[in-house]
Amino acid sequence: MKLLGVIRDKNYLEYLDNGLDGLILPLEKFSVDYFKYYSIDDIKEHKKSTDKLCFVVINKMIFNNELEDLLNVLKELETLKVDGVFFYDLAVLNLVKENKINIDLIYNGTHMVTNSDTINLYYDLGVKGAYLSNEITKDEVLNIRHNTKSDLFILLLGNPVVAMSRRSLLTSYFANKNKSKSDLITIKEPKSGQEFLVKEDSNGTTFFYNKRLNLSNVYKELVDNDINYGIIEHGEFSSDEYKQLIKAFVHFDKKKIDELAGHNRGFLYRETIYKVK
Amino acid sequence: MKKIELLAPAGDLERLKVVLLYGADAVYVGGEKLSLRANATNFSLDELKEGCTFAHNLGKKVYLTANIVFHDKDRLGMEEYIKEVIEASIDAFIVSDLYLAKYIIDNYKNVEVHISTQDSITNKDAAMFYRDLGASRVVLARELSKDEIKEISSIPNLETEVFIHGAMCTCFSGRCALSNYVTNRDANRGGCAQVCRFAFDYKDNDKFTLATKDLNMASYIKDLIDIGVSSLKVEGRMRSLYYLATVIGSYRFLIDNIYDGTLTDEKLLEYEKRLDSVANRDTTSQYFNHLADVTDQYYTGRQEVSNQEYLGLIIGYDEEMKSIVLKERNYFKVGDEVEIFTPTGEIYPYKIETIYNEDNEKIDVARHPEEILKLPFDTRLIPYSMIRLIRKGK
Repeated sequence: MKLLGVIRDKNYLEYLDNGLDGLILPLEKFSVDYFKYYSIDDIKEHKKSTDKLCFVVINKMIFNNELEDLLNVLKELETLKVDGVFFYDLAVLNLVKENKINIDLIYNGTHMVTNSDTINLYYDLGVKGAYLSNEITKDEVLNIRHNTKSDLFILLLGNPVVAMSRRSLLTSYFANKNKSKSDLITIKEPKSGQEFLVKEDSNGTTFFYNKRLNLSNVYKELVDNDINYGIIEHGEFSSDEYKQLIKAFVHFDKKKIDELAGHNRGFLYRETIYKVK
Repeated sequence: MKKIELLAPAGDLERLKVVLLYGADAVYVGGEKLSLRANATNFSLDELKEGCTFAHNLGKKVYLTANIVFHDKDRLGMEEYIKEVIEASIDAFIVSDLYLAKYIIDNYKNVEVHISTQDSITNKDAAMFYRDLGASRVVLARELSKDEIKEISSIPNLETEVFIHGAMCTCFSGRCALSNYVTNRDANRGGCAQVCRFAFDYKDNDKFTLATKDLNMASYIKDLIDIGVSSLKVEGRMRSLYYLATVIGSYRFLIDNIYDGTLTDEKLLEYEKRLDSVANRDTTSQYFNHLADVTDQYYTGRQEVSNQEYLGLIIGYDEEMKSIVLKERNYFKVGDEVEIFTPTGEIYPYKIETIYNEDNEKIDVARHPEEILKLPFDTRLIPYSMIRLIRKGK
């Protein structure tokens, strides 16, 4: 399994030196659900400074007035020879195919990458990889692995994205309360006790689960079953802690990972229900 | 030019009949599998057949929602189910999963595939992708402006469907798993617990809410017709008969009045008032004219108000008593002023002077929902006529 980082500071060379195989760079203006975004110039600089893996994220809902810029951006990324582009909106796939752009695509449907057939269909359509949803069980992950040739990406450690709205929910909330606005707040659902980080930017509002997901307990199994890429998010860790975490995955040290990142295993063993009668 | 379609929801066979009689051109329903309203009373195969026969006899259509984001184990029996519901004569599937859409397109030429709003289609290229796959229609994301809808609706050989009335999701459809994380109910497999309507704790004992007001596009139907939309969709498979009859009836008359050039400001106001009378939340046009903002949200924990103006469903006529027979829904009494309205648009103002119970005994007050009652009335009315309260008597 190759380890990919999503980072929040500028120390990427150090993280790569500590064992990351590459980075995922959310593209400014075209991606959502992250805390740090990169311009095309940033990506150019990044490519110049390292030959490690470089994936770019374009996962926002695209609107008509953005299609022309999106096409230009995709052409630039082709020139830069990035290792892949994570996409949500099918406009990306359509533009890549229509314009014969030579880029590897990874389907990043957030909560919608949940079954083998759909991943296989994307593969047949030329989409090389799929970033699995965080809301499926370990058995479902392994079943998908056994039934598809697609490259599979999984979040090993980080705060799962829970929801995304086009609405400026924090702007509206604070305006209504006549209070000064904050772009990042923590809220708690009182009955369940579940907490969420709510973050707003120019593309809308994202909800993150405030309990960090940590799949250290199945890491070996995921490796043995050929899950191709594991993603480790920088999150709120200090630079030193993040380096320790990377090392703990590289020289697998479950105790160290759990010590730093807790024990939330997400939906690995908890199947969601949908019939409540 | 083809007349725009009015598409109504139906959670069961009775609702299907009501919305079609009240003027819907097509109805969308959930079956026993693959539907995003897993907890609605979805249609059995026999009910689906009966519903299709009823609709087709009226020259109308039935669309089946198959819009869950399935997991591997949900796939068991999928092909058989698809085959069975096609044999029940449905006219189209509403699908969100790409695999399922392609499977139906590749294997069945006699049924349409519409792409669900769950896929949040927000641009021309995504819409064209689905058209080229073989879908005949896309249900657009609810986050689009008039200009954005217009541009997508100009794509050749692809119909667009937009929501015009009902509840809104706070987040992009398909991009929300709040329900999964708070209640363990899978939002994308039909278990959505509507967590976006919950009140959350925020600092200083404050409550954070993210619930939205409902959508009401009555004032913009002409715009939607003019910009080339093919179908106008009303939300609410789990809504009451009365709500559906009022909403569908109002939009039917609005659309028809626009096409025959008889819609006046007064009439529009009247229809808007009627729609407001059954609403249980405030309404706005959301993204149609501008990005949704502070005015489109709620900031208190509870948003719904109950509506008790629906008094009863007319289920027959007693020739001997010269009375309409109704099944009571809400309290009423002698002295109340009401309106009796029919699926074909007749409205009869009526003051309640006598109420008979099922044994033909006079009573002054109707206080038991589901009770069979009679009201003197000279005319036999068509099935699914209803009574609503206008003014309470003293």
